[in-house]
Amino acid sequence: MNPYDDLPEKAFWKTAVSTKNPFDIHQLWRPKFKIRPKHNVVTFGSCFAQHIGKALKQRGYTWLMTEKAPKNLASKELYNYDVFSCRTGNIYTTSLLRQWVDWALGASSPPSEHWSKGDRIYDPFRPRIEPDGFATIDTMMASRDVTLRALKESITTTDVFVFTLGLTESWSNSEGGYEYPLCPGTIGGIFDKDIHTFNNQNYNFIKKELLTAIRSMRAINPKLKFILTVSPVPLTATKSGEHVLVATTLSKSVLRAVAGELSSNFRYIDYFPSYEIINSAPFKGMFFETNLRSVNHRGVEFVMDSFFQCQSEVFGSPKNQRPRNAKRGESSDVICEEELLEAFSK
Amino acid sequence: MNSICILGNSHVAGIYKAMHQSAITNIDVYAGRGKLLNDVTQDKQSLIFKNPKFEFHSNYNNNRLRLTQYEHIVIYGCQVISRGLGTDWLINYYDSISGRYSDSCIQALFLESLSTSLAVKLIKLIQSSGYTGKITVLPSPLPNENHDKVIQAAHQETPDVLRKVCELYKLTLQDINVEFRALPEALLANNSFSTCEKYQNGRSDLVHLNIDGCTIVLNDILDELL
Repeated sequence: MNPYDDLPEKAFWKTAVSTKNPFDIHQLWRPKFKIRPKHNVVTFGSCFAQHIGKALKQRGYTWLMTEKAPKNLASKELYNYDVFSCRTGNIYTTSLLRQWVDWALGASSPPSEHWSKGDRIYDPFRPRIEPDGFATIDTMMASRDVTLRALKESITTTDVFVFTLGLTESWSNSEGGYEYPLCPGTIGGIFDKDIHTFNNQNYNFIKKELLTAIRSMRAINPKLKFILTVSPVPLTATKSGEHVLVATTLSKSVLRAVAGELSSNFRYIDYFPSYEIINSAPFKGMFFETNLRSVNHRGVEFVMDSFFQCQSEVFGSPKNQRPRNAKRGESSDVICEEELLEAFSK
Repeated sequence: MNSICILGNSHVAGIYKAMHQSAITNIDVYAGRGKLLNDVTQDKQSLIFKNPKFEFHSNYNNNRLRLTQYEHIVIYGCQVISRGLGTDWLINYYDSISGRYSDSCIQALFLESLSTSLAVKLIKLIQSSGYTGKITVLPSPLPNENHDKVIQAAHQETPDVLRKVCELYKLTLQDINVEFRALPEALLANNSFSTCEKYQNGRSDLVHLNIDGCTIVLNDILDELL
């Protein structure tokens, strides 16, 4: 008699993984809280988070959108509508999340910095939010104000906040004390080595920033629940000095550890293992495109199928749940500023 | 044989009536309900209208409109700027002045509206026939100032949205060798984004011009195009 005798099948590699067809690997997640179509769910984070919102909507769940496109605009995604719950653009790090939350809730104000390219103005914190930038600094700031109000509305009115952690490597303005989603000079702005600083964030920092953001949000929405995921998408580039494969593993490991600890320690924070599904050896990399970086639609579907299946296994299926209504093979371009760094690869 | 024709949806019917009132006969007019105009194809330098209920004026045989007989084709209405009850125009107008969206985004919205309009569909068919004459597009009349959604507007300002849209459409259509011509400003209400009540075609019709309004449009066509 030993503590392993009574463990379920899923606790053993042989029964849960190595003897199974990869697509039969299940019970990967035991959700802490029930998500139903009536619940408002917002999604933010790195590129992979874009898939989650769309999948929710396709299944008839309420993907809360607090910043909506003009009615009848067909090219919504070109203007970054319907990508996240509002137009923050990608939020790659927990410190960027904390920064956005601080701005939205009034704890601090965004800086006045802007980037120029020709006669167009770009938002350093949302460099690709408009395909050709803004006409003036004022319109750029006004647009960001709209987004900040929408972010506040997201925080105050949602039931579940899904955040996908993406990166540990970050660039900041040391004079202003704020962080950029991308290094200045890559797709906008001018790099200044005297004020633009690189930081490969460590475990404690990432955890602190994420907890600060979460506590700020729960201060105004005490019932807010969080689902954390880690983006399975590898780094496009690393400034760490390490091989990008090694740097990727470090980043994802640290992010996974933070997400795991917070999920273990807080009843209102859960972790969904999309990272494991895409990246684990049993799945043999089948969910990556040929660039071994972008997640293909089969991977997205499998991840989201797992999400809803695990919800159903624990809480039962919701009444009148719609089957997924996207056409198989339908794909949409994931908007990822980080991918543009590939243009700098030699 | 007339060298100019005006082709379009129900708004052209009003031009037809104005022509009759003014005894003008030097323009050919082809007017059909919008949904019927959707059902048109092109073959051997003619437009072919599938639905026999298409109302016509002249030179329309066996559902074929022979394009080569005209030096100038004017497409009037056909979902340019305002379509249906004008609700989309009003929503786009409000979106444009709300500040929620960038100029670039609103511009994209208006361009999408133009590209999906019946007018552009007709232009493509006409040009694919090899037609080498002139094509001019006149937009639909704006919804009447008595339209509920217009009345809801409480704007003190009269932003220049209409002028910007007209300029945008002029440049866009110019790229495909089509002239865009805005409707006369005399038709506009003081708010600059709807049609003046006195040109409304009856109290319950918030979309079409009455005979006086149509006469203004017709005279504009005659002054500029003949």
